[in-house]
Amino acid sequence: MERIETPRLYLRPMRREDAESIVAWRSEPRTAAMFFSPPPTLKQHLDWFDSPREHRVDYVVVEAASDLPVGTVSFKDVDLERRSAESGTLIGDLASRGKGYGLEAKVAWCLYGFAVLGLDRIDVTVRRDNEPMLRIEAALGHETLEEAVLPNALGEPTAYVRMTLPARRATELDVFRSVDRHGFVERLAARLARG
Amino acid sequence: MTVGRSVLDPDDPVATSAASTLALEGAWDAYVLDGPDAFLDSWLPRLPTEALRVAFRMHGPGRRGLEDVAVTPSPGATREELAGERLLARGRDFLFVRPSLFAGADGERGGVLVTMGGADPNDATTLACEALKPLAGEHPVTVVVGALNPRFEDVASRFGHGMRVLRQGEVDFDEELKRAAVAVINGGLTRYECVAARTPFVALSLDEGQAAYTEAVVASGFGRHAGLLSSTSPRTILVAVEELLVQPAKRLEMAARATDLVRPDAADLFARTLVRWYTSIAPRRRP
Repeated sequence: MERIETPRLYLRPMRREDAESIVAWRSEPRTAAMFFSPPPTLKQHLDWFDSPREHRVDYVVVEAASDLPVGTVSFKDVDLERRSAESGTLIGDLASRGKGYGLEAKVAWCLYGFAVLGLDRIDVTVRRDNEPMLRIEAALGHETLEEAVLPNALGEPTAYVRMTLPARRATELDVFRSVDRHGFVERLAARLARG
Repeated sequence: MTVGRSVLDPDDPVATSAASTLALEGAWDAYVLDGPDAFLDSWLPRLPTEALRVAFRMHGPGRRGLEDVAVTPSPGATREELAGERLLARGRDFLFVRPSLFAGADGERGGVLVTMGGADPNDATTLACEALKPLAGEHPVTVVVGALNPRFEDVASRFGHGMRVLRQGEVDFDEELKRAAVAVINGGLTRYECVAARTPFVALSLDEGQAAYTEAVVASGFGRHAGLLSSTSPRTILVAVEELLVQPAKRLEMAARATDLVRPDAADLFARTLVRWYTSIAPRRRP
């Protein structure tokens, strides 16, 4: 889709010209600490962007009122046979944090994954101390799969929580309907009803 | 019930020969034929009248009622109706695609595959190769030249330095299709093979009829239509291919859409439909 709209944001496919913003967001120390891999250089990011990027989808989150990019959302390891994917959400613009944009973007992104990509489950791995993100996952009805200690971007042992969001949750919770501007919930409900 | 199947293609001497054999052979209980309407109308009256005649027709059931079962595979919704004792069926559940195209369609992909069918009388292969020349340095381009296409040497000498030019039969076509990120095709059944393989296509159409079917698939969310062969341009083809290559998200959306467009079990489903229908009419037909 060219544009996924929410009440205050829109999501659009990532472009090459987004590179500088994304690299800057990823390089911010508190943000960098949340990732498994070190922040990329601009060249590394562009090399990655120009690669086939199979089995993943990357969009940029844009504040509708200002038309300014504020973050990214992604699916990686998209498996259309098993109808599953791993999601990532980043509100990289520090001034845009604390406004509920992360929740709004994540809801729209999951709806897109369920309704357009046909996913049945979306997994996510979050640092145990990333409380804002864990609150978002809880609000969306994620189910905890496991807790694990994994090396972070610096190789330090770090506690993570692995969770999954089943598609049916999007038809059960009001938070999904409140953000949906594309009839995704109805499409998903129809698909689930068909089995 | 013994079923004989023939592909009646006036451009295909092998198929035509098979059709001749079929028409002379009277041991089968059912004949399953597909091909251009005029060809079917020519062949169906020659079949034994006690046999069941199943005809796959691109443009809907034959008006002359020569077949007992008329099937029109199309990207639209599946519909079955009875016209007297005749079964008229159409829709996406009758798009039969080789099972090997479905298996392993989730693997790694890259590059562009050009395939324009067996004979390619309108030389769409050369047009597509011309169109893709600017991106052949960045993305691998594989060209599969049809077995009946007499221009293989010409295509290989003109484009072989930057593209991998192969004869149909030299490679496992299904695997090539499943490994490509984008396919450039000329419509026909290949569009459904692309759907099964989850390889987004950029399709050229030989005529308005082919264009309509391709547009229907595109409207369902899969592939791009580069227009009629007679009026499109290398630039149009190149832009359509590049747009898909640089948008993994779009390709993934199309791949996800493909799971609803073509069924891997379509042949089994049709066999059950045929048996159900036959069971209902058999007492009247063969007292």
